[in-house]
Amino acid sequence: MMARMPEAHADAVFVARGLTKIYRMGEVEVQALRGIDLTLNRGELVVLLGPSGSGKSTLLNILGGLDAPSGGEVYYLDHKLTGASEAELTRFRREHVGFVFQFYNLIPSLTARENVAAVTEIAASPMRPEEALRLVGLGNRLDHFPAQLSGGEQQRVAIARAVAKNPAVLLCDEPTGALDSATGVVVLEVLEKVNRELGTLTVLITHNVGIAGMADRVIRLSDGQIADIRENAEKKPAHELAW
Amino acid sequence: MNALDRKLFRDLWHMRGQVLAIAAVIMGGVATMVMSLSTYDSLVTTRDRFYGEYRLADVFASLKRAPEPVAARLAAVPGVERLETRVTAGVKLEVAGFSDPITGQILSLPDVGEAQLNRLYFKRGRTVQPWSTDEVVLSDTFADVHHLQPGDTLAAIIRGKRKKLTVVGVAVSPEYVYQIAPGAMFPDFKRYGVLWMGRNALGIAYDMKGAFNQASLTLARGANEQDVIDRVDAILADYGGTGAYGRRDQFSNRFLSEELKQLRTMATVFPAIFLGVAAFLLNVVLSRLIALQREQIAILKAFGYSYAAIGAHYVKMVLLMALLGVAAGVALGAWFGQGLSHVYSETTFRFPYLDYRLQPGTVLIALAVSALAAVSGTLVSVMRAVRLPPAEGMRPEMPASYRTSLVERLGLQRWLAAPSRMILRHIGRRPLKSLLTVLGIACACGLMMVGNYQKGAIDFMVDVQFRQASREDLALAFIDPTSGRALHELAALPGVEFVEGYRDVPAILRFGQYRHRAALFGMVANRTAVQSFYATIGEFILFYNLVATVLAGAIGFGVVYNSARIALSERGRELASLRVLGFTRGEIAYILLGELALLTLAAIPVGFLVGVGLVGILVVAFQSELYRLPLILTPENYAMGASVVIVSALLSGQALLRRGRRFGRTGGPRDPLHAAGRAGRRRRNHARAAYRDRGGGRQDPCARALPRVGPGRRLRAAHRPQGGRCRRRRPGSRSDRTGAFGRTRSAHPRPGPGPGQRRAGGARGGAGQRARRRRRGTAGAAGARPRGIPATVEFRLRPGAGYRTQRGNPCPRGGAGRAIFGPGGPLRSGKRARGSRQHRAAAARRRGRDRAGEGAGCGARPARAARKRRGGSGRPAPARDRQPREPGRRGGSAVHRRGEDRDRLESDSRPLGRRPPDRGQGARGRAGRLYENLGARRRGAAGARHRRFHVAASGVGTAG
Ligand SMILES: Nc1ncnc2c1ncn2[C@@H]1O[C@H](COP(=O)(O)OP(=O)(O)OP(=O)(O)O)[C@@H](O)[C@H]1O
Ligand SMILES: [Mg+2]
Repeated sequence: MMARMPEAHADAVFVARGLTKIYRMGEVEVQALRGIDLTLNRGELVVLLGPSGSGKSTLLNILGGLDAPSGGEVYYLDHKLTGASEAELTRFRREHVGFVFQFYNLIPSLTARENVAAVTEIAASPMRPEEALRLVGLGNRLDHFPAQLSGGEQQRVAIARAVAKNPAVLLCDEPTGALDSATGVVVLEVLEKVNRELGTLTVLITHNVGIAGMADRVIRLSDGQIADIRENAEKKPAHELAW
Repeated sequence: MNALDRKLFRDLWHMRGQVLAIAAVIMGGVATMVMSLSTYDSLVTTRDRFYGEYRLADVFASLKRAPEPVAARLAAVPGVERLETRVTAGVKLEVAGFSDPITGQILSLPDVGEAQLNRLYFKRGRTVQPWSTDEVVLSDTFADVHHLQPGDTLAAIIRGKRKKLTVVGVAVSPEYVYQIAPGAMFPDFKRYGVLWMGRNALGIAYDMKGAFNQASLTLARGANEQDVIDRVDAILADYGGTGAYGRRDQFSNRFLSEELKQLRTMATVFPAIFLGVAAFLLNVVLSRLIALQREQIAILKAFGYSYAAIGAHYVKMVLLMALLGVAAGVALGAWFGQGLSHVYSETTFRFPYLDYRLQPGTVLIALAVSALAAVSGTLVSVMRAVRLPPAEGMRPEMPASYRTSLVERLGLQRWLAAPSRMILRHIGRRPLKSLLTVLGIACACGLMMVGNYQKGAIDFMVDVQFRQASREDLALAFIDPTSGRALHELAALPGVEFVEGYRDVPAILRFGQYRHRAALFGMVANRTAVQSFYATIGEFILFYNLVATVLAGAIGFGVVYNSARIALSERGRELASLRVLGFTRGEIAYILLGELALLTLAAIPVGFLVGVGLVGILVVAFQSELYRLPLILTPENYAMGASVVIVSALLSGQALLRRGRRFGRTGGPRDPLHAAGRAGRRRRNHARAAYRDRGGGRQDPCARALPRVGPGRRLRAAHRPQGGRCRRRRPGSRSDRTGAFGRTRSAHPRPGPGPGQRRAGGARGGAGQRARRRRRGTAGAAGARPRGIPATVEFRLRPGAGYRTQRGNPCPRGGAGRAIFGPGGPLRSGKRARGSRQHRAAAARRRGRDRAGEGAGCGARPARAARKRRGGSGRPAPARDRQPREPGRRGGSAVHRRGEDRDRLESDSRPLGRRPPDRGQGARGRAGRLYENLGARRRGAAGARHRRFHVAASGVGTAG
């Protein structure tokens, strides 16, 4: 697990080599990933693009330690994630990764503040939940339950929850998928701000080519393979985006 | 409190209906457990303390008569630590103001020094003064019910002589913790008492001066009880010893032990059922909850909550529900336990003190067992939550897989509309769950049946015992076995319809190394006994019915409400979409409730089976040597079982519909379990209140007239009758009627015939009727009644044979408010003194009628033989054909020679009667005395002429 990838870049956070993922459903086999080689660097904002079913979420889950690949290797810094035990993966997620999901996945019985606190309580050096919520512009909605928040607000709580523990990596699976474009822009601004101010490696999945403008790099997936990787010469700020 | 714990409490609060339903079921189990265990503990501690402090003997030996020096020989038996002799005898008592005959047991207290064994705990007063002749100590039960205080007097008929006794003390004895007249089924404190008297006075009265007829002893440490008993028996054999017995066979102690055993059974059987059901419910609820919270679980894991933390979270949730149930159960159980202890100490076991104690250990056991049940019930669900891969949780749940139902596969779908098909498929989707739901509901039905079973069973026992077996109106017990002639004399008494005599013979049954004292058995009683019996155990029945209803209701509602809520949660969305598609609310309700209704209906027959099974278990578990409950379930039992299910289903349906209405309106929240309802509910309540204020809706006319209290609320008419209409209560209408009815009922359990009918009844009793009676009498005398010489005679008063009480109130029924003559009971004598009249008579009888070789007490002869014998023995002409006779006239016909009694078989003697002091008639004959006894109590009124007793003579030594 401590074996370091020899050829890795000094700034590399994630290094993936020959990742494959096969889902077996009875007779049918679905090849979700077919050999992905990828390096993600410190402080980057990466956008994962690709049609539905191309394997974006699968890749993200593997990087975040939520799922294990069927083949290949993934390294986080000098930790080998592939083959790690469940307890090690849990610790990895707890200490290093923040997730934002398409459907927010807040805990409905907890207020905004408590949703964030649920994560900060188990983190090593977190921000205060109020601070995280202020960061996403919800300083005045601390004690509202998810049911009392709009979709965009809920997604911002989810982002606050993800960033509150000062993770090294922020993995976002279609954070704007369920939002209108204006609200989506607000959410993206938050992500951009976190990426810029905290220097968090941010991976952002979207169907939305428009969003790709704000990325340092855009990785295009198609049918479980990387179709192309494009570096954005100049990043557009989130508020200039529209779709 | 951390965020996860907050989630825990909010989740619980959100599911509070279900949580309460589950807690109620757990409460049921814990309550029964705590009730029985704590009562058990209390009784055991109290018993041990009382036995120890008041030195209950280890071995008891009764005998005919032995001179005092024999005691020294007994005391010398190795293993005997301390020995004390006593004189004891049966006695008939009279208490001023109470006209029924009272039997009692009188025991001697030493005149020199204090009693060393079987000491008395004095509640009031003092012990008798040495050498006093008329002082007695009374048992507290007897003293209490008759309000006798030290200084009061009562009369005893000792060996036919009436003696005035002065009460000097009221006491409790470890020997008579359970006070029951020998042979009786249940205690009757009013008609059975225990007395203690100076040894010398009692010795003189019973011709036991310088002699004893009972010895009690304690064993030295390490002594072998059976050895000592054998040796004691050997010594006492020459003195008419009836076989010594240990504490285990001591009557009161044996009852106590049996009761304790039953408490233990109760502490396991019922809680097991409840906790089983609770485990199932928890499983259903938690697996549903976990299915609903998949995404939450996944997110928690994604953020680094360990698997153990997630598992602990749900286990905590389960334990909290259990804890709630345990807390409520301990409280309820302690309350029930106190009630039960109270019922015990009032009706059965008399301890000088009975401190109800709830031991911490009991609570811990309850807690541990409930927690175990709860956790084991939910382990699978929790493990599913724990194992749920975090990535998986992010994906929406796959549509549940359905199959066509069996009905459809059989090709019956043509008759089923889509909603019905949905119901069937939903049930069929999780057959195991549906099955368990049915079983759970069935448990409610079964428990209700168990709770009510006791009443039915006891009714049955009473019916068999008092109305079929003991059909007599009066019973007599003779001091000593008496010749069959007494039967004829009795039969000749005016008003006697039927006489039946039988003999009680004690026996020790041996099988290999096992021995068993077969005690018993004299029965007896009349309707008075039935009444007093119900008065005694009525409290028990009521108590158990209350407990059962509470508990069965808890289970029924718990299961039905939970399955309903789960159904709503699982299908809320689906149903909401159907509503959008244009299904009416009724159709939606049908789909939702149809499943529930189907399961409930299916559960009822299953519940009947469960009920029968449970009752069967109970019958076996509670079966004791003393009695056995019959497995009798009445239609009411079934009806009660079914109704508890139906009522809880209706209530649950109601609750569900109220929740479900929301779906119809809003199209359904995403997560029915977590539809944060507070704001919405408030809004709805406002709307409803406004609607009501406008006078809309089905409203209670009373409510409209009542003032408003608080926003949107009205005072509801508290006494609104169920019909929904408001009816003013007219004074004297309802409550008065009940009152009058109650009075009537309590006075006359079965309304007796009016005066006219009475006479008609008297005129009717023709030969056919008599024959019927006789046959029933014969059949009634079933069982292993030992044959031989009658020692007990049973009377049956013809229904018309009313009489007046001493106060002159006519009694409509022969028996009501009347006499019991304590009969047989365990005879303490195994032997018949050779050469006695009794012995010769018995031998003659055997030669004449019985098959040779049949020992006393084991022969069951065909009824035909019995009838023949009856004929042969000169059954008396029916009483009604005779002229009523003057009491004194037959006085000399069966002269009772006292001198002969002594060497005769020792029986548990009940003095026959007394010479009425106010009449001065020199009646000496047995029958004469009997008659006087009856007559004296029925003087006034033209009594004798109307009263024609039917004396049952059929059962002498018969068996059906
Ligand atoms: N748990 C699973 N079981 C079976 N097949 C799966 C599973 N998860 C993903 N797949 C399959 O793997 C492939 C890639 O899925 P993935 O969710 O990664 O796609 P995606 O690019 O995220 O699509 P979308 O943009 O629609 O979210 C799909 O064909 C999907 O059907
Ligand atoms: Mg995806």
